[in-house]
Amino acid sequence: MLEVTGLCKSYKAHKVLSEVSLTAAPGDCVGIVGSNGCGKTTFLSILAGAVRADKGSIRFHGREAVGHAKVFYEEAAYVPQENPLIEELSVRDNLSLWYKGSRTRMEEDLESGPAAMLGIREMLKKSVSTLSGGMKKRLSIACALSNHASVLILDEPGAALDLECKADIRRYLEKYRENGGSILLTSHELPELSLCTVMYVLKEGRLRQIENRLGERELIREFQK
Amino acid sequence: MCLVFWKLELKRAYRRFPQMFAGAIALLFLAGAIALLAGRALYGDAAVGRVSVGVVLPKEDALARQMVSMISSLDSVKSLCDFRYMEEEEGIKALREGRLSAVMDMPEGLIQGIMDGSNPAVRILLPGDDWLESRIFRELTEAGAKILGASQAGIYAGNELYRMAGMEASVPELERDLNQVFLSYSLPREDYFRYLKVSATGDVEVPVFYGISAYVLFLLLLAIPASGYLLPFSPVMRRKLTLLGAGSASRVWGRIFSLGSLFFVMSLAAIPVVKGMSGLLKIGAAGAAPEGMLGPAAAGPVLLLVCLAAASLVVFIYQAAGSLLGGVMLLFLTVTAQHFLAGGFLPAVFLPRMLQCLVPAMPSAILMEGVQMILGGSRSFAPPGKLLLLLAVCSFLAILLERREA
Repeated sequence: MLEVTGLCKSYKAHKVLSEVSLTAAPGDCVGIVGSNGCGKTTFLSILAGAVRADKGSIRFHGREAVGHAKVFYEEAAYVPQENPLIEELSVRDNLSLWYKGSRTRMEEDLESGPAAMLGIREMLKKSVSTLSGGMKKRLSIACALSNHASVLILDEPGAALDLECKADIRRYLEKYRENGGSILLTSHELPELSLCTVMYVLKEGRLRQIENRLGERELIREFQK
Repeated sequence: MCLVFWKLELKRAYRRFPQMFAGAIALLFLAGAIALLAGRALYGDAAVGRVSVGVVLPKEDALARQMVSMISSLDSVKSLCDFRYMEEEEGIKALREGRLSAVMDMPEGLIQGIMDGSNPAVRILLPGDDWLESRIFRELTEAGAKILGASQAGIYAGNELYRMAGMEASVPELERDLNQVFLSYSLPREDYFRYLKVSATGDVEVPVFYGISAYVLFLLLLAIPASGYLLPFSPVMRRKLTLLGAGSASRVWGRIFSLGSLFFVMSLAAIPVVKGMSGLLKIGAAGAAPEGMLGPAAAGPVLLLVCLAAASLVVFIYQAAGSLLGGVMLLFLTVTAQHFLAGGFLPAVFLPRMLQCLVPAMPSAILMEGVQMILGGSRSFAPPGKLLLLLAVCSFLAILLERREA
């Protein structure tokens, strides 16, 4: 369960977020849309603990995370738009870098956890530089989920991926949600947004809930409102 | 988590070992080619290393031959010149053909002339082209003439004093005594210069000085083949690493430690090569550690400190440049410029006085001092202290830049 209340963030005089609030219950998939540069990435970075908010509260299962890095570390799984992978190292090396747990738990995950579901085991020995975009994204998600977090935050997960990879990732996200996880994602693609149970548009620093499963034209109209 | 990050940074750095090794060989060839081309440009084909001088003696003048033989056996002359006795025509022909750097035509009655003060001139023929060898020989002859003139003036002064005192009969005795006293002073003086060398390169010999300078320059430039590893982290990586607990300082320290240890391993690998080259160039005993060198227990940590300080400078430069090409350019320009200012190319005493005060602050000077400490066996705390300071300053600046980017 994620509860965000009164979140504010400014870069000097530019207000990016102004009194933003939302809630994501277990099994929810919250989609955030908005035009380029509206502050979606900043918002997700704050929810993941990577950027500090000026004001507001973020609670994971009732635990206040603002000012407590450990809560973010334990409760949030963040997958940025660009893959945070070290290209010249192997998949196993990258997994061990981002893995938030013991080595034994990592091996267990590779057998039956999120890493197994994402098919990481088959590419463990490969160098990341030889992986396709889809494989890299799967690895990024596996790395982020190494803490078995119940809130998965994804910044444009399908960007620059082919149709097959996008479908694979969508399938995994559906499973994650069915297992009681909450997903927050930003996207510009309708098939990805079709996963969402709740939709928000971010404009001029404010979040506004919109109707779910809107078409392209309706979404654009919402952006312009 | 920081430990895992550091371990992987180390792994990344060591993956650059083959590139660095190939880079070292390329640098060595490049430096050799530059030295060879510069030598040819400066001296052309006439660079023979020694000054060949033709000597034309008056016929049946055994005294003159004896004097030339004495001059040619002097250390300063022997180390530079080869004297060849020949006829005048043969000498002029050899001079024209470039086989000789000078011809010395001795006049008749030279020794008597020196003794009676008439000083008949020795004719020195030099080639039209102003070769380096000819210039050296001209300097030598001018210096010799000055020494001879000063000695003569001393003897003449004594003679004149005796004549003024009406003791003309004692003049031969005076000359003999003066000769003995002169020798008793001049011989120990020569002895002094033979054993106590005064050098522009300080406490170390010239080849050792340039060896140290080349090592430091190589160490810093060796980072160029590893440029890919030294690129600043992407914003996403920074954000994720911060979440993981690896902040700006951990990230920068991870890099410095990894690159420094790579430099250390490269330096250890270069020891057999340096030993082999020392043997070939006859610097010290081949294969043996130089006299007075620090033992492995003390030399190891100092060498590691040199490598870490060099790595901190390189990491700071790449952090400041922010890109691959910028890093390579900035590293090359900064390293060569500060190496020159540190007296790495030309010993500091030859630098303009205004620049000499900058020498102690140059990173290359501090690194060279550290290596010199290992080879010289000094137990002073100053070189390691300066290395630690360099390491601290460069790390601090690199962390500051990393924090600004984060």
